Amino acid sequence: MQSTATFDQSWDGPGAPGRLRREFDWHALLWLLVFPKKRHRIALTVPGLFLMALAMGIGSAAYNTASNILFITLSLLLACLLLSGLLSWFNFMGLCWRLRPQGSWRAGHETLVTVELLNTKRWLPTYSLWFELATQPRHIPEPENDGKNLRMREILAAAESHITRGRVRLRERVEPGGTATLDWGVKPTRRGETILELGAVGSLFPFGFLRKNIGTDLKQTVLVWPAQVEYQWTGAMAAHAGSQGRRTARAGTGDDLLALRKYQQGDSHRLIHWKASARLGQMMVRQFAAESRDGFVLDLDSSAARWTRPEQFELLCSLAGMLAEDLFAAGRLRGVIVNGGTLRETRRLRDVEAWLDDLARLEPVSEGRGDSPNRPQGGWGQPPLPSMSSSFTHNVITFAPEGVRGVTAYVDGRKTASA
Amino acid sequence: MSTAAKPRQLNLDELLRLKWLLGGALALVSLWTIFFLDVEALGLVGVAGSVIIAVLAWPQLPGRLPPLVWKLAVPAIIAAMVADFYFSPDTLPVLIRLAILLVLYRAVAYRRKREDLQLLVLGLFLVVVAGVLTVSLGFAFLLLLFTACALGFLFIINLIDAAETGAVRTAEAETAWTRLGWRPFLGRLRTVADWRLLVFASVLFLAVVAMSGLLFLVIPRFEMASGFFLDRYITRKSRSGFSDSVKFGDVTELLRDDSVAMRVDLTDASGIREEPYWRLVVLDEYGPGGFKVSAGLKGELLRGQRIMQQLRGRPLGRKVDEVGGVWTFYVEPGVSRFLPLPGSYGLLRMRDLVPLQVSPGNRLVALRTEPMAMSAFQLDEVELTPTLTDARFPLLLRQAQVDQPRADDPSRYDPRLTLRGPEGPANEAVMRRIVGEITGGAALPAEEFARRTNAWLRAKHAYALSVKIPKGEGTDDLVRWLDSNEPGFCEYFAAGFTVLARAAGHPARVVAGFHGGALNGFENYFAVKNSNAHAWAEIYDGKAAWLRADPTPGGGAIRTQNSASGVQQEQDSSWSARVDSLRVLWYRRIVNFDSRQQVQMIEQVKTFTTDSGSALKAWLEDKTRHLKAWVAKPWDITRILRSLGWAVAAAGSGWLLWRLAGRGWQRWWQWRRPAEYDPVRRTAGRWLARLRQPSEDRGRKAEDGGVIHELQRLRYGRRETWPEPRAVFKRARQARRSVKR
Repeated sequence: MQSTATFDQSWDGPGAPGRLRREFDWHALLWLLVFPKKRHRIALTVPGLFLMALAMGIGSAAYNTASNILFITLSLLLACLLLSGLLSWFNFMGLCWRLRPQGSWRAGHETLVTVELLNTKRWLPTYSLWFELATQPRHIPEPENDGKNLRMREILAAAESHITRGRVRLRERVEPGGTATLDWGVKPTRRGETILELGAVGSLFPFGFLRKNIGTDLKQTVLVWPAQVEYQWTGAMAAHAGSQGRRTARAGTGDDLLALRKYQQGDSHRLIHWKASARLGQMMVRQFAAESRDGFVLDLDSSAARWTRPEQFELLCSLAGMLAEDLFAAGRLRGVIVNGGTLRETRRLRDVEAWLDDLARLEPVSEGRGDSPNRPQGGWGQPPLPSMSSSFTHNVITFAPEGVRGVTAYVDGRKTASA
Repeated sequence: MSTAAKPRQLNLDELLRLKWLLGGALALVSLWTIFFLDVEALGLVGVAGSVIIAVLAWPQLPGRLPPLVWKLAVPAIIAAMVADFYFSPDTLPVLIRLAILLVLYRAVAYRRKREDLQLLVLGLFLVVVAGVLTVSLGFAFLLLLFTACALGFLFIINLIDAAETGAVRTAEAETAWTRLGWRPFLGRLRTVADWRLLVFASVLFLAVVAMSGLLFLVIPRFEMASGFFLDRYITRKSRSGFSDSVKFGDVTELLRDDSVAMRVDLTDASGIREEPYWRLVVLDEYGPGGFKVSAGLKGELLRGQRIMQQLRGRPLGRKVDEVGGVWTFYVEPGVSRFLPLPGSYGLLRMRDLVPLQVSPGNRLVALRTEPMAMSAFQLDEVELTPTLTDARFPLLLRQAQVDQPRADDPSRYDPRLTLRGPEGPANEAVMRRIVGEITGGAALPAEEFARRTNAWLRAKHAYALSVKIPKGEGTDDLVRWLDSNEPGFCEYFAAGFTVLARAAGHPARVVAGFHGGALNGFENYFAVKNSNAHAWAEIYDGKAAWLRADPTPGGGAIRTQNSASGVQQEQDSSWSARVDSLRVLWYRRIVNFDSRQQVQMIEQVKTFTTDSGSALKAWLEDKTRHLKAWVAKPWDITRILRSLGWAVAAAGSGWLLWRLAGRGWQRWWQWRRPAEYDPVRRTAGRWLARLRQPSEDRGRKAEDGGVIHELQRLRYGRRETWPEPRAVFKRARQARRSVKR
């Protein structure tokens, strides 16, 4: 399965295909020499600083002594600096890149982001690049302040804690007309929309004097599904619903890739995803989806009045997602209903993915089922009743908070599973 | 990575090996510069160079040394430096030897990035110091070589940085690169080398050199200099005989040295009619071992020391017969601190403000110390004359005879020394007898005495580079030589003349310098070699001038201003002269490049641009006038047809040449890369591009997709699967026309 992320297949970078080529303009070129483009940063490294200091020292000595030999040396040093800038520009010329998130993204689950690189130059290779990647939730939650005013630094630190950064390096050169792929392993921490960003592409090429960073605007929004959670089936429904809260490891008749998961004993070796295993350092297998059969309907009520605790709400989403997947894998998922809406049948894998996408975006709603004309209210502590609009009156799974941290699933009002 | 064919790249171990090679080359280039310096370090350089070459050839050698050696290396270097400082009188040679040791240490040890950069900086220090101290042309070559190696070195370091994964490697893996065989490594280098990248790198390097040349020319110069400070940290003995004391044989030793002592650039060499005498030092005090500059004259020079850049020689307004235009002197280091002067001059100009010691009466100008590097200066309004005006001398002599100053008193110049010769009754007796032989007992004027003395000396003594002094007691060597028939060299002739003149009552002195030189046929300058070293004499005429007397056989008699014997300057057009002219170009254009020349260069560029523009404009106007006149002529059918014929012929020839050139290019390309070049594939590729373009522009695909498929087969497919190319190209042409419609 793959998350229904909004894939942006377009290339970005100086050599991106389809990029408008502006007519050559002397003014623009001269201005570029003086004032670099937005988000292009050039910084001196330690050897670069040393070179500058050396050049200044030799320049001072040259003026102090009027020695043309020192002037020659100074000219050569300055020319080498210019050459460094020129070669660095050549290195980035004709280069383009794009991001490809791999597989589905699930909170708490390692996944891969692939950076694809294309060198459109005809006969110059590209060397020594790095890519600065970052992921962050689209809506970063406010920091907890315990009633006291927080300083900007603390607010920023709290925000930074939600951002995952990484850097991948190009170890070998990219031949002219060639491509390269770099993988970055990342573990999303939160459910919801996540922005995957390629912040900058940098290089120390050619001599290590200058660190050049080209800022990019390459962003993609990726939906992170709720985390997997362990749950327990209780009562007679356990036999009907499937296994005890663990995902079944059997291949389905479909050939849709569901997810990447850790290897379990009994998995076919043909399912092993070797590349992901090498990157993450543990055996990972492909999980394919099975066709659904007649079975249960999940009826989810996300009213804020019922779900007052954020962690319980997250657990709700995780449990709802897990149940949907397990029931679908067992062929027992009929459809899903959210907040008293219409039933959405889940016949195919795509439907389950859509359900998981909804769960990824699900937020507590202020008007609960109590206000919905289609939903009769149950009392507090009582299992919620199925939606009146639903034509199903049995095998309807509803959810309710249990205690302070737990969530319970009810089938036709009877407690069936809890997490 | 890409699933295409694996790119040809060096792996980490091969990169490390290449870095080792380049580091060693850098170290060797920087050590090579020591050969240009006159410091006592050649032995150390030899040892260091051998060790570096050994570890380059066998990189595993340093790994076999016990760790204790590396631990003791730095303390040993420090101890050597301290001892060197203690025993050496000069600072700079010690620093240079320390730098050599550090370069050796760094070049031999396995290095990380920081240590690589240290090696680079140490090498640069040696190169720059050598260049600054010697300003030799070889420095320019070595600097370029060093720069090329350094850029390659830094590039490889950068690639290694990128290739390293950061994972911890075992010690064995860390040194795996040292065990690579040379043959496989060089084979890999050859496989990986791409001629296009190598050409590109060479072009870039040339661009760097050109850029640095341009920067050198445009960097603004300010006249802030007050002499180069490094001179104070090293003392050098003059390699020539032209120091403050000249023993017999000092000048003659130089006659065996054929290296160039100085070069004199003339703006107009046509007026030079005789071989110039380049006057360096006046030796007025006689001693049994030879002549020397007296303490009084040294004191006068010291008292006349001023920091100046210009010095007036003659008073303004005096008319002279000046020759040569502006004389620019480039004197090699080690010649002398005295500046060579060919005659009287109007203005002496140094490159920058320097301390100069001047004795106007003796026409001597000297630097404070022996210069370490080539020194340059200019003379204007030079008059080549054998006489040296000194009207104050009789007054000074009279005063000295009254005051009786001490001969060794540095606070006062004693002109009586110019009358003192060998002392002692035996010496004086011999001198009297010889003078009597020359003068016949008469009191001759100075000029006549000089003429007869020259004749007497040449008759009695032949010229030879070695002298055998007869044995004797009670008389000086010079006196015994005078009294014999032994041959001698210029110093003996000059000294002999001087003591004879003094014995006859004429003030006289010995002068040392150069005589003659060869005109370089390539760059029109005088090259004066050490073998042109010469000694002659000057005798006071009793009125107001010193007269030059050269008694050495072949040196000529006393020269007067109106000498009829003009000597044609020999032109040197040999290979060594050609190479030497490069050195003058280096001095002229680079070393001597100052703000004045910068301004001159800018004015020349401006004048050239303006003149070229005017010339071009005039040419265009002329052509336009001709064209108008041609068009204005009456036209008839014959003329029209003739003009058309010419136009068609010109266009046809141009088209034919273009086609021939294109055909030649294709043939060459086919010969160059027969496997890759195929005209059918090239044409198919062109048609594919053409068919793709109009369809992209108009937003719809080409109507005939089948033709594109066939073109792709021609372009990329195997030859056996090709359809008939001509038919395909014809259909492609039709498809293109239909797409355009």
